[in-house]
Amino acid sequence: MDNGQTGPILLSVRNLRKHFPIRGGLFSSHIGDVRAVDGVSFDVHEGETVGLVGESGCGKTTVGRLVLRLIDPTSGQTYYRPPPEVFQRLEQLYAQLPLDGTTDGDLSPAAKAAIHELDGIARQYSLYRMSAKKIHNLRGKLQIVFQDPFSSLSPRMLIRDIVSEPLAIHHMGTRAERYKRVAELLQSVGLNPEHLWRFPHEFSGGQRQRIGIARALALRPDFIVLDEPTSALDVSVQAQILNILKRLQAEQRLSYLFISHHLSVVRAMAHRVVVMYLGKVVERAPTEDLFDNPMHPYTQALLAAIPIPDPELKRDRIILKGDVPSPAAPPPGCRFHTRCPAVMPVCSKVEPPLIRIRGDHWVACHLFPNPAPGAATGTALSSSGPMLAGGAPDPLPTAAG
Amino acid sequence: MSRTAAAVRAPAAPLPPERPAAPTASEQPVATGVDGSTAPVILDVAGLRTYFFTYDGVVKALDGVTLQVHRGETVGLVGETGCGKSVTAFSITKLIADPPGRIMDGRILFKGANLLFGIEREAKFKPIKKTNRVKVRRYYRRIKAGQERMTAVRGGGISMIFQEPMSALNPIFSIADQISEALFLHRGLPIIDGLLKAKTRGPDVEKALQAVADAARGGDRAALRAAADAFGVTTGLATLGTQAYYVFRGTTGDTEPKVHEMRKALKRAEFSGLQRNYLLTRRRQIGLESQLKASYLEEMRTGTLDRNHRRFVRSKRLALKLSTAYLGLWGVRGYSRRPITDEMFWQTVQLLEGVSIANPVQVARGYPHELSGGMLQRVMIAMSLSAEPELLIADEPTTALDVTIQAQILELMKDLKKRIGTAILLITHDLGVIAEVADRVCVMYAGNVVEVGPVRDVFKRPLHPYTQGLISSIPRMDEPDKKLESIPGSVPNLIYPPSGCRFHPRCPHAMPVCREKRPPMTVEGGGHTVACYLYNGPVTQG
Repeated sequence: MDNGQTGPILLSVRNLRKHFPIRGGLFSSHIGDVRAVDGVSFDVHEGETVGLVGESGCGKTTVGRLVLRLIDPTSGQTYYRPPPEVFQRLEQLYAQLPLDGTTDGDLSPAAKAAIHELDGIARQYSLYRMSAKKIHNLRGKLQIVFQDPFSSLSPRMLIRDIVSEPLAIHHMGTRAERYKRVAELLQSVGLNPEHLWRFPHEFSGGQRQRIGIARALALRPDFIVLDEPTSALDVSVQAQILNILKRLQAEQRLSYLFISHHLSVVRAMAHRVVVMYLGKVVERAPTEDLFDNPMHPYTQALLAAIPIPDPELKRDRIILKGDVPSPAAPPPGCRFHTRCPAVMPVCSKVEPPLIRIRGDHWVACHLFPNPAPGAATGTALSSSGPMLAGGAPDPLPTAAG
Repeated sequence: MSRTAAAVRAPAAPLPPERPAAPTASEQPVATGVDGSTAPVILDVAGLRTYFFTYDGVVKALDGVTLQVHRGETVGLVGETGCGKSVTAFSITKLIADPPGRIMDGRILFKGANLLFGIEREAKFKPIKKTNRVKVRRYYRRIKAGQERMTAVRGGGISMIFQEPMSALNPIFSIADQISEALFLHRGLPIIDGLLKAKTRGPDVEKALQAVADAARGGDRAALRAAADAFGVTTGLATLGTQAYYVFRGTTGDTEPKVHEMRKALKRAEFSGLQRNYLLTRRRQIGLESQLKASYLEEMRTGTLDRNHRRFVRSKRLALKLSTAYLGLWGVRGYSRRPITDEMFWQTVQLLEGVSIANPVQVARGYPHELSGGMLQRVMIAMSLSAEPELLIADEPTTALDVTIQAQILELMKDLKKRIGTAILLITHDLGVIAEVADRVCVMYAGNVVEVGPVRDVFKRPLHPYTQGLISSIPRMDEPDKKLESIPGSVPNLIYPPSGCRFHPRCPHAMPVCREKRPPMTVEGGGHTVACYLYNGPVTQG
């Protein structure tokens, strides 16, 4: 999946699933699952920002925690820095698996061989197969900034201690060196050295979020999960934080996984966007392509729902009916069919696979023709892209109606 | 001035009728004329000051807020966290937590009634030496009287939607219970009259019921709806029609059990002597309450206490209470209340239908924890609009919701505004929401209104540097390549607010004069006013 615009692969997330058990009844038996994340795949290249968008409860935050291995997945892998040839092999092997990524049922011998080989690669590169020691060392490279700046900083620690704690845990330098580094870090996020001796309650929300960013930067990471970093902040402060994040990315060649429900913020930040609905990826595309050309009805509705701060602009809005269904009992077939404005009979029966439409634009929707089962490899799909764009009637207008 | 006087005397359905008395000159609502609207002003806030007396000192949360709302318009109140948007809303409805907060000064005129009547006699202030603290001596009896006076305005006059629907609703009562309470409080009289006039027997009632059953067998929802409504008209109780619709909905085969159920409902609407007695008593009570409310309103209009009249009404209220004490007996009360309870339940269902809830009966029976945020906010909207208020204050109604749900709620508010004609004071920090819904914008910063104007004008030509900063700091969907500007610094501490213009420490155009004196509100054409020394149009009053 070489899109020719960014560096080598940093993280490759494949078929990630996380089912939280629901316990109840007699003896707290297992009575069901909340399918928070149900088969999510995407790649993060070096130096790029991937936006993860969706409504509350769609599993965005769970994905963020999974890719850092803060929680263990039910199944699926996250490969960290696979070399290009390994990554290519991964692509080929995953293409041989069934489209929806399930591994139960009768498998062809080719698929079985692929699973065996994938297991070997996972043992070497997957975050979930690493030893405790190895993942501990890797934590410095993979960091997170949390959503709520009011609860993510210990109220009993000085800012100096909060920001230098990661350095201490990883035994970096002497104490004096660490404190010097903390002062530098605070400066890089726009705080003064005098703030070292204060407690979190003395700061405003925006300043606290800066402290959170400084802490995440302490170990010179190459990947940071930004879990709704600005949703608790005012717009003017949000702009400050977003500008800092952009500057740091340019300076340090950071990669971000930018989780947000705010599409306009994602548009300003991300290079590529993954849209999630109820634990599934419904659309995945480069930012420009997604916003200019949203394909999935959900993405279209999400885009239409954002209020644009321009009173002159009058738009035809798609207003979705109803609420997001419970992930404990997701609707059969396409999970969006209960609210979809372009619903068809097939939607409630068959779950649409994520298919490539053109370039790096992937959509999971029955409005778009499903490729033949054998043609699931990357090369075959990319040839189907232009064909759709040129010859086939564009199914988009029905979606907008 | 004549048209504003007309506004004061205009009969308002939800408010009790007023006695003809001209308001004193100082309390006339002043239509400034600069905001270019022709509709009369219904809410006129001027120089509002609300302080919070804390251990660290006096937080001057509002420092002279001036704004107007005209009949039927939507005013957006926008600003950053802590700028006093919510405090303004809570001050208007007098819901400020007291202690620590107090409205110190200013004027809030709602249709000519001074909501701050008597506020200066409610407390005394004495600075504590060598500290920043102020000792507040509160006269609780006067505060209570002031709060009671507000009952004349709340609900039918001004009603409110809060930010967190989950915490605004009571978790231990069902949705129907909670909406019923609000509904009965404000529309008790027509509801009881409707009940007393209901017609439950006769061949035409029976015929209408059979028509509903036939329509249900036909399986056509629209036909069923029409037949049910006709049934409601025949019986004289619209709620019976609603009930019939939901009882028969989904039945296609044997309708006999449903018909039986409706017959039972009809039977319940024939009241026993005790029940009728209860209804009549409640009716008398409501009459006295509305007399009391009229008296409060009169006090707020004329600015003189109406003690004698109120003492008379109160004594009658007490006598009624004592004479009907048996109605509060356990068992007797439940039985005698039943007609009202039933009626209120179906009225709630009707209200929930009005806010586009698909399954209103289940929602009405449900409890707040069973509903999602968007549904709860709909319930809140239904509740606050149940009295058809003239002014709805919506305090960040969509902040806790997802964008798709936010779109639904905004659309609903626009619809309801068209239907009921309520004026809305919409408080939000999201300029996108303002652009979509509001007619006029009022930008607040650190307890001051810095800019007011028609929404298009303010977005196209923001005058105040703060408004400019706010607008350019929003990431735009339609202009993704725009560089995000940000306003340096953060909102000031309001215990020690900056001198002069409160924005000057963050302002890119700060001048020496900004530090010294507060800029007056100047008119910059077309109903657009701004408080900034960069502009020198004619100064408005207040």
